[in-house]
Amino acid sequence: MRYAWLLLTLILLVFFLINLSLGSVSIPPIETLTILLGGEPSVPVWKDIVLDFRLSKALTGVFAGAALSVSGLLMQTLFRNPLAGPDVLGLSSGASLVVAIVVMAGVPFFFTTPYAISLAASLGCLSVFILMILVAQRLRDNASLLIIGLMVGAATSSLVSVLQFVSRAEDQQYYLVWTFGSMGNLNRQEVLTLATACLLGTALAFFLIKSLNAWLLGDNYARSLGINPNRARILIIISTCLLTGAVTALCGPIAFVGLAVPHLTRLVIKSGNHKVLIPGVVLTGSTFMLVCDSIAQLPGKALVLPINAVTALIGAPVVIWVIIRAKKIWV
Amino acid sequence: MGLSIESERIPLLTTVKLDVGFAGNLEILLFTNLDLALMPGELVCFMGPNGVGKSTLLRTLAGLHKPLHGTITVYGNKASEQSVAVVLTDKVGGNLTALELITYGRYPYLDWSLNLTQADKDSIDEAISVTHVGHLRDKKIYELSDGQLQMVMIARALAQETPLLLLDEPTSHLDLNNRVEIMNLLRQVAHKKNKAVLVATHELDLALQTADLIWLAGENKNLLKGIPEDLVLDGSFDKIFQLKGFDLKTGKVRHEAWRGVAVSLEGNGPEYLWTKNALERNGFTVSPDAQTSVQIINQRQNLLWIINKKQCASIKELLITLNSNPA
Repeated sequence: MRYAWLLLTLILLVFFLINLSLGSVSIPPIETLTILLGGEPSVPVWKDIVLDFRLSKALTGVFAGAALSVSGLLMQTLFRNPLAGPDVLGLSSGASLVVAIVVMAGVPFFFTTPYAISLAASLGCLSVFILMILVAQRLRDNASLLIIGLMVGAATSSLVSVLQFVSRAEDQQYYLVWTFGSMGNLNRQEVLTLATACLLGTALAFFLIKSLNAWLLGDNYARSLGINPNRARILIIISTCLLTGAVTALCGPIAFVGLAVPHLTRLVIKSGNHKVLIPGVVLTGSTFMLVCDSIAQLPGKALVLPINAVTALIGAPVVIWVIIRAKKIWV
Repeated sequence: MGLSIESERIPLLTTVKLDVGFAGNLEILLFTNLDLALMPGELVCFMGPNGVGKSTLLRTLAGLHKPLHGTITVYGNKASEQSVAVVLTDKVGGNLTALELITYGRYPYLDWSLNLTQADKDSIDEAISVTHVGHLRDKKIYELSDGQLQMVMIARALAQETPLLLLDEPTSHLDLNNRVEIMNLLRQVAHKKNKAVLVATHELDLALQTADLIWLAGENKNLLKGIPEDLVLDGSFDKIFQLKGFDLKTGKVRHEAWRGVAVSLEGNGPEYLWTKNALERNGFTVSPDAQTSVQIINQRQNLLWIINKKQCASIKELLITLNSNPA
């Protein structure tokens, strides 16, 4: 078990380094390491490239990957359903809708600020979050919550379709690019915001490991062990919204990572104990995101593929392979 | 050890004017006006026909279901996770080892970080040794048989170290061996650890032989309470279960002597009982003054049945002989 942790950490560090080295200018990984450790590289401009451009992108990948994976794990446990992911509550659908309204319906919304899209996405996430908390307090049943999340998703995506139908081609293009997801456009301040949300959300999740573990036994057993399911449910939703909301607002609706990473993690960490699963998905999720991002900028080197295209392209075969090998998939 | 007959002791769990059921527009009342008491050191079997509300009452006593009216107290306090442990019929799954599942029993005593103290580990070890599941510790729960999983669930409830244990159908879907083992264990736990153990079950035979006290549900939305033997003799069981073809007073299935042939049987011990059982099951009457006589001889563990001077090496042979030669 100890070796597994060491291995996961080591893999993360290696891919962090590789991610920093790749791009339109290739930098040898050893030089990148020198730069990170405060040394002088053989080509001085490399230092600026790594520290000023690539570092914030790599860190974004680390935090976004971790955040999405933790919230995916929380949702799979909350709904006791291996198909759940960060988006089952409809958060990114909510974000998409508000972003679509701002971009395509031409609603004037802080357009003077460069944060317009981030603010719109946050607003969308927040609305759905409040809706979900209200629903969770009224309905004490997990399946109902899941269905309402899916309904919100369906309703918003049809509204978005209507908006696309009536809007100008260039606005559609702009919206489409947003839905691809991107990790390269964050400034220092935004990376810091993402990091804070990621840390807070993960810390809250870690504080909930007792409830999360007991949750796996079902409501009755959880209550017989002194867990208050309603309180736990609300706190799990808050943590998920913080994590998914921050990523969606700053990087766009990044799909698939939150669904796939918990399953990949369980391949290494064969346990249902969240005390080891949460750190596990943090490491695996960060690595997964960095790998996907590295692949996204490989071809032709000048061209960068949309991150959403890569996550599912890499993730889907891996998850299929995992399921076929393990024969059984766990929550 | 302690039985309810003996004394005036303080009840562990008490209910006052308890109404059990489901609230709502269409209120469903399952039990009304229950004044119950569970004594420490007692195994109580809670019996009744299917659908009478056994599980609901059990969950209500455990504090998992809201009572319609009335109060439930455990030593004067509200039931809590440190006073009541349950084994329910809810399906338990997941990627857990037996040990992890048993460790859940300590959750009421752990903070969010789930660090076990030595005392926690000792409780877990003791629960494991009482239930004899040590060899299953590191197995995943999906690798366990139904009986093994049930034992692990009981170990989890014991690790919770509560004065009260409530179990819902802990022996259903298990084979005879596992059923007896579990009921014996629960009896021991009640007597040796001075816990109050309430088992909802519909296994009449086992309940009659292990329970200190029976709660019988079925009439007037209330419970009949008594020791098993009294309830057998006063016909309460017959009335509530409407037994068909089972004679509770002899503990046997009733057989019709459809052949109209009587056989006298000589012998003793288990071989006598089982031979008699086989004869009656096949429609013969066993009576001492019958003409046909069967003698059982037990010579150095070799059993022989002698009928009309013919020797039979098994009961099967005896039955074939009787069939071919009626009289």
